[in-house]
This record gives sequence, structure tokens and C-alpha cells, in this order.
Amino acid sequence: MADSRRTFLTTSLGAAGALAASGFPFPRVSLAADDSLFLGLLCDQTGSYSADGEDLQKGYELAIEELNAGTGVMGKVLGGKKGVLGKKVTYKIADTQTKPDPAVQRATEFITQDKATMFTGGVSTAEVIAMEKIAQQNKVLFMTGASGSNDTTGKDCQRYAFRSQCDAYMVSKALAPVLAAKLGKKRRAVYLVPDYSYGHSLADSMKEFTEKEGWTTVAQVVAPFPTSDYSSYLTNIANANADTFVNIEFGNDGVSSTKQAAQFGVLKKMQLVVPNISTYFADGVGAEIMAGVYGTLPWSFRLQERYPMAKMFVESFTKKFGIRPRWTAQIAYDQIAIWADACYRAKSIASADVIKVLEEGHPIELSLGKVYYRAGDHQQVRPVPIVLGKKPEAMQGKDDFFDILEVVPGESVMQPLNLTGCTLPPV
Amino acid sequence: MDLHLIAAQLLNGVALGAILALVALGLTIVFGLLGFVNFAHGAIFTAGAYGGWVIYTKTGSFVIGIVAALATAFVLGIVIERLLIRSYYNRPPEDQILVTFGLAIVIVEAIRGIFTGQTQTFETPSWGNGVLNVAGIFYPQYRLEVIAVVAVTLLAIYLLIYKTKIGLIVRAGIDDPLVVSLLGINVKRTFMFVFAMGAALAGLAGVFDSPLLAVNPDMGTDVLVQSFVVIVIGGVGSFGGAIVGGLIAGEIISLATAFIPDYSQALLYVAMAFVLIVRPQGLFGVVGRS
Amino acid sequence: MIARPWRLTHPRTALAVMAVFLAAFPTLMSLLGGDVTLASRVLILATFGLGVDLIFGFTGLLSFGQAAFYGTGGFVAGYLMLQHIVPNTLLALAIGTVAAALCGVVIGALSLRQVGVYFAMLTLAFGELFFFLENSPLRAFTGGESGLPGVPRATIPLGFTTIDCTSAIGTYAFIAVIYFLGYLLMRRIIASPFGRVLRAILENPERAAASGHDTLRYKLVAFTIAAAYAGMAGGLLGVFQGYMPPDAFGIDTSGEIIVVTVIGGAGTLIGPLVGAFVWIYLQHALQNVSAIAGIWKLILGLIFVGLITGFRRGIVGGVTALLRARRKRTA
Repeated sequence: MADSRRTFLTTSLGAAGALAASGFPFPRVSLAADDSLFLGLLCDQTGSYSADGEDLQKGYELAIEELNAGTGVMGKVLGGKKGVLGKKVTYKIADTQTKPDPAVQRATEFITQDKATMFTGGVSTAEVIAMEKIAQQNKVLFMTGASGSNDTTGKDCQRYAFRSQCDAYMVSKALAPVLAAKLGKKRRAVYLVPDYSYGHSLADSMKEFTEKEGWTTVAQVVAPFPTSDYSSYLTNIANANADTFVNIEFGNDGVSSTKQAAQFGVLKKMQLVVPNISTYFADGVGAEIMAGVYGTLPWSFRLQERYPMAKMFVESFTKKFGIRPRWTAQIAYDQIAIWADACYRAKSIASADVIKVLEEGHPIELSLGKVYYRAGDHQQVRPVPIVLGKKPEAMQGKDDFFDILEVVPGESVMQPLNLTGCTLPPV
Repeated sequence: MDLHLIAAQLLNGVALGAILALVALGLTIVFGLLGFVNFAHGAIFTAGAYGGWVIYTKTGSFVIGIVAALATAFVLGIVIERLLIRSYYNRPPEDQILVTFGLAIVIVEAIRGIFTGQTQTFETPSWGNGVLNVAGIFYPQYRLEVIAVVAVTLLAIYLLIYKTKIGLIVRAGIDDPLVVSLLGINVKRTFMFVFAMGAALAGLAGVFDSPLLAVNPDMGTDVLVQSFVVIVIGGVGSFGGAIVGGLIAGEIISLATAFIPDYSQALLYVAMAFVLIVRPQGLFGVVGRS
Repeated sequence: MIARPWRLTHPRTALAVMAVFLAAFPTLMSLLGGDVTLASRVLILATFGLGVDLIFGFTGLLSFGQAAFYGTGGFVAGYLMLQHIVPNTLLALAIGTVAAALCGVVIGALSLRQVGVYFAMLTLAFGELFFFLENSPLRAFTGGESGLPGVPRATIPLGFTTIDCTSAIGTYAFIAVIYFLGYLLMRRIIASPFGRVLRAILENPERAAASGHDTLRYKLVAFTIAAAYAGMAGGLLGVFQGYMPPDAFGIDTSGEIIVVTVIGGAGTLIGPLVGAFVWIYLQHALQNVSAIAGIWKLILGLIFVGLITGFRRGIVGGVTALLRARRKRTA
């Protein structure tokens, strides 16, 4: 017995030692130097929102490459200048695991150890709100990744954070009238809601605006975030007296809840509405299920038919990665562009100076036309594309899932400042 | 109260309970017969799911995938028992818990290293697609099939343990290893077989559950903890207890989600704590088995 | 399980060595490619581990639910500070610690009648229960899935002046002082008659009971103390990060502190400090080496299994055994 135990002990410790030795940790070298600046990128590489995180990461990588080279959309916005104020942009990517705690830890390390000039990313609102506070506490600028909750620029708004994605209020105010026009005014809706800030925010906003159009909210079924087995929730939903199923779930949760809804026969009985469609949602559920579904996408490659910058963005992205960009990539790229432009205007990379310029709200022509940030809450003013899932036969390309029904102008759907609950702390 | 909704949730609870019962059975056999609690049971569940997933995606056949899952888990069980567990039978329970807990970490992280932490899709097999009408309730076909297959598996295991000579040897070997070895039967091999069988059941549950859950390295953690609840409620070492406990746990989850969703997950652990305090041997367990 | 004679080195030497180490720790971390924030993290885990070592290393109670107290202390303290109900950090931490200790009494009273596996499973159940309560019904206070962002930095009003620990090194100093006091207190507890009874329970529970001790009462007190330490550590986490994560209640956290304590060496008091250092440093160092970034936990898992199988006293135990063997040889 003792012999085999000792053998096991030595082999396992030996294995561990060999593994550890193969990656001998060298002291962490800070990438920020006099002729360069450092950006910290937080991407969800694992966890429920990993597909969106991957798209986000690609957007950042393209943005920084073109920023340093002075090419593409970045080149157009900055007039061909390379880098930011003569400095090369360096970066590192950290996996947030779609959880706020790792996001906070890695963001803090980027700030304290790598001396980040700016950090950006996060796909779930939970991560983003946590990182906003870190930005404020450390007085380092944070450009949010994807976050759709009203709270991000509402009660949790921060001076040192700016948010690009359209919030729940904007999405709902833009979508509800279209739904009423296409589906009728007397519908009965049941909601599936992930139990955190984003879920409740979007559900509440949708409820507010659909009810204004005459709809009835039959029930809101709340599921923990994340969840993998929706059977109990879907049983409730299937038995609710409703004709419309509004699915607020996002990322992998969105895909599995919708597929399971199909399995439970919910989609046969009810019209599916997905107010905010995550980047790889349609790929996950398949074109059959996606056909005839109403929703919004913060951006789609189809918009290249309307906006020349979008066309350029799609071209360089496809050239680099072999696939077309989705909307988290667009947020990532355009944010870096706006930030770089603000640095040039401010003639400085210091966060406080850049914030002042961003609050001035200069509209920049990007993949959604002219966009800018609103000073009162740092919410980006941008149009909301309303989409409808195509029939599989009508698809021209395996990622061509949607027809764009309407592009609602941003100014018309912004939440009035006094209702956001935002008080920006001082710089 | 909508009777239709209650009936639907009851059926759902049976489906949930079926998987739990299968997982718990493997755990309770090992615990009850070997006196050994296997904190790596969830990791083996995950390993089985991945084994099944790899083969299923390669061959397109779910049935071959099931075989692969069984094989993965069984072999893993044998390897673990032979290399490590064997030297722990006479060590205090804390050591047993700790070593299997550590093994769980090793197995899960190895899986994560090989397959990355990404969630993998596991399509429902074609014969599982569709919705069946069960007395006015629309329920996914696959889940009903799982209930059926689990029932058959449980029956098979029951027959194996209680109605065959092998099962007799296993049971005798646990009760009185000395006598059994004096009779010329290899007790060590019996223990190994029992452990591997428990592992195989976990792997089987893993592959059955994969179309329903997301296949990722952490899929076994929740299952492990929930199976603890099941064997506590049902009674450690009891075959019937695993089944009844599984059904009770499934119904708690399902009905609680329907009526008090905020507390649905907490309720399961309240039930577990309650049983442990009031009747630690569970509903069907035997007092004194340490 | 881990039965050996406990021999304390001379208290004053041990404390002096600890003080010197704590002062030098941030520099040591920087030399190794980390920085002072990592040192703070290590000390928070080490504080948590002091309590776990008391119940596991010295009393033989394996609890898989310590995260319940870690989280309770952290969220109570964090909430009070965030809402400006108690702006004094020390007071908020104290309240959090008391809240955690109260939970310890309740859970301990319910669980400690069981031993071995049943005790482990029961603590696991309570840990999960706390996690799910934090997640949903108590969402208004705990932030649910989002946690509590914006916990203020340490602020200690002393009447005539206020100490603000806004810098990283200031926060470290604050945490280090608390850890030192916690370590000092724990040494006293272990060396006291109470501590001796705990060790007796570890080595032979029947004999301890036969000697007339109410073992259940002793275990309960030890369990409560461990819960208090966990609660203080949780509070420190919130202050350090400026954010209180829901993970603090998670089963991974309960497992992590066990692994850390065993790797460092259970029953040694400084074991959790060593284990925490290994855990956090390895995670930090390996995550930037992309080839094996994901497998730092696998490595630690292998080490953990190896240690339980052979070196049951962990790193500290192994080192002390080596030193003792060498001393014997030269004697």
C-alpha cells in the first residue's frame, strides 16, 4: 500500500512540477512606455455570453490594428494618422468568464499593474456595472462593451464610463409601435426574464411600451442567470393564456431557452419576439425558428447598404477574419474610433480631458451614421434597427438571417434625462 | 389553481427526477456498499457527457454516443479506483472526501484544458424531436424517452444487484469481505467493479442530460450537489431511496419554480437540511451504516 | 486524521517573524512579478483560512459551507458602507463579523450533531442555501447576480483625524494589521485550554467526551469563531475590491478555501497563508502564459491530491518535517 501511495505521490507531484516549470513566470512587464499606451480589453471568452465576447474581441483587434496603421474606417475618422497622438496602442485581453468578479479583478490589474490609459469590454450588464464603479474609483476611463440595461447609464451611471449600446428604453420605444402595427394591438404577452439588472430592465421597458400600444402582459416568468434547463419555466409559459412569447434571455441562455421552447411546443402556439437579439442567436436556434421572429439588433452587416462606413468596416473585418462582423464587433470598433478621435481633439490621453471632449458630443460618422454621446448620462445617441427573421429560402448567405424593417432615429427614442435616475459624480 | 398547470409541472418533475435518480443511484451504490462518498461523481458525469459528445458529433449516432459515454465513465472509474481510491478504504471519511474532491478538480480542469471552457451544442437525436400529447399536456418527446430509458436502466440494475449471482457476491463482499475472500472470491476486484458501475451510471446520466443542459466543463457541479440532496432525502445506500429521493427532488424543483420561483432553488437545500436534522438516515436508509 | 503534537515556537519569535514578513510581503510580491494588490488578496484568503484551520486542522471538522459566512460578513459590511449607514469601515466590518458569527451559531447548532460525511453534506447544503437566498429573494440588498459594486475604500474616523486607505499600499496595510491581530488571537486560542480540548477532540472524540467535556459545545464555539474569521475576511474583500461579488457565497469559494488550507498545511495556522500565496501567485503567473494559462487549477488539483495522499501536512508540514529530520541528524 505504502509503495503504490508513494509512487502515486511522486508521479502526481512530478507531473504538477513539470507542468508548472514549463511555464516559468517571468516578472510582468508593463507594456506602457513613453512611445506607447496600453488598453485593457475585457472579453467574455467563456460562459454564457462567450459567442458575443468573441465577436467583441475581434472588433477590438481590428480596431487597434487599423488605429496603429492609419487604415480603414479608423483612418477615415482620424485622417490617416497612425496611433494616438504619436503613441502606438498596445493591449492585453482578459477573460471575464461572463461573471463580474473576474472582470473586476482583471480590470483592476490592468489599471494598477499595466497602467492602462483606458479599459473597455464586458458583455453582461453585471460585469459592466461593476467595472464602471472600478473606473470611477480609480479615475480611469471605461468604455462599456455590450450592456443593455437602463441602469448602466441610469442609477449606476459614472463620470468615467460611456455606454454605446442602445438601452432597454430605446429598444422598447422603437420596437413596440412596429410590433403593434405588424401584429396587432390586442395581443397577450408572456415574458421569460433572466434574473438580473439587464433582464428586469428590458422586461420593464417592453412592458411599458407594449402596454401603451394596447397589449396585455399576462405574466413575467423569471429564471436565474444563467440557467441551462428551462423546463419548469417553459411549462409555466406554455400554460399561460398568451399568444406572444417575449424572450429576454441573451447569449447561450437565449439560444437554449428558445430551442427548449420549441421542444415544448410554445413556438407553435405563440409568436416569438426577441427584443434584443444576441450576436449568434440566429445561428444557435437555426433559420427555421428564426423565420418570422420580430426583434432589434443594435447593428447588422445589412446596414452597409445604408452607411458607407459600415461597408468599409464589413470589408476589412471579413478580410481579416473570413466572416462578417456582428453587432458587438461594431460596438467595439466604433468605440475605439470615437475614443481615439476624442484624444486627438483633447490633445491628451488623460481620462479627465478625454471625458470633457466626449461630453461635448461631436457627431462622428461611423457604421450607424453619425453617433455621439449625450452629456447628461453618457449614453450614445444612435439609431435602433428593427429586424424580422427571414424565411430560410430567402437567405442569401449563411449569416443572412434578417430583413431590416426600419431604422428608428436615436433622438426620437432617448429616455428623458430626468427619468434615467442618473447623477454623474464629479470628475 | 390551474389543474392543467399543476399536472404539467408534476410531469416535468418526474422528468427532472429521473435524471437525478440515475445519478444518485451511482452515488448511493458506492456510498452504501463501499462506505465511500465520491465527490468526483459529478466530474465523472461530465466526463461521460464529453465522451458521448465527441463520438456523437463524429458518428452522428446518439446510440453509439451512449455507448461511448458508458465506456468513458466505466474506464475512468476503474482507473481512479485502481490508482487511488483503493488506498483510501481504511482512511478517515475526511480524507476520502478530500481526495475525491481533489480528483473532481483534476478531471474537470483536464476536460477544460482539452475542450476549452466553451459550451458545446449537443443536438437532440432525431428520434427525440417532437412534442407528445400526454393527457392534454404537451411535453417534449425526448424528455419522455429519457424517463422511459432511466426506468429500464434502474430495473436492469436492480435485477443485477438483487437477482443475480454477481450481485449476491457484491452484496456479500461488502457485508463481510473476509468471509467472501476466504471463499476464494476476489474482493478487491468486486470493489473495483462496483465503483466502476457507479461511475458508469453517472456517465450514462451525463450523456442523457446533454441535449437538455449545456455541455461545458462545469455541468457536473450542480448535478453533484443535487444528487447529494437526493441520497440524503432517500437514504444513503438505499436503492429505492435513490429513486424516491430523485422524484421528490425533481418535484420540489419543478413545483417550486411554478409557484414560488424566487425560492425554488433554495427550497431543495432547505429540504436536505431538514431531513439531515430530523431523520439523518433519510426515508429508506438504515441507521448505523457509517 | 492529522494527529501530531502541536509545538508552538516561542510566541514572541513567531509574532516578530510574522510582523517582519507582513512588512516585506508587498516588496516580495513585486520582486516576483506581482504587486501589492496580490499581497492583499493573499492575506484576505489567509484570514479566511485561519478560521478554517481552527475547525479542520485542529478539530477535524470538514465543512464545505464556509462561504456562507464569508459572504454574509462581506455583504452585510459592504451594504452598510455602500448605503452610508455605517461609514466607519472598522465598525461595518465588526458588524459583518458579528452577523457571520451569528449565522455560524445557528448553522453549527443544526449541523454539528452529525459527523464525517453527513456533517460535510449538511454544511454543503447550508452553503448552497445561502447562495440561492443571496441570489434571488434577497436581491434588493445583495444585488443578486450583479453583486454590490462601489463599496467604499477603508475610512476610519478616529475622532481627531480620519485615516483614508485609498492607495493600494494603504489598503494593504489595513488588511495586514487585521490579519496580524487575527493571527495573534488565533495563536492564543490554540494555546489555551480551550484549544487543547479541541485537539483532543481531533485525536480521539470518544476519549474527549469520556473525560467529561461537552464536545458539542466546544465544536460549536470553534465553528462560530471560524465563521467570524470568515465574515471578517469577506468584509475585507469588499473593501479591497471596491466590489462584493456573489461568488463569495459560491460552492467554489468553499472548496477553494479547503484546497488552500490543505495545500499550505492544515493544523499549522500559517498553512492557509502559504496555501493562499501558492494559489493566488500561480493563478496570476500562469494566466499570462497563454499556452498553459487555463491549467493552473489542474496543476493545483494534482498537487492537492498528491498532498492528501502522501504529505498530509501540506507544504508547511513538509517543510517542518524536513527541518526536524535535519536537526535530528546533526544532533
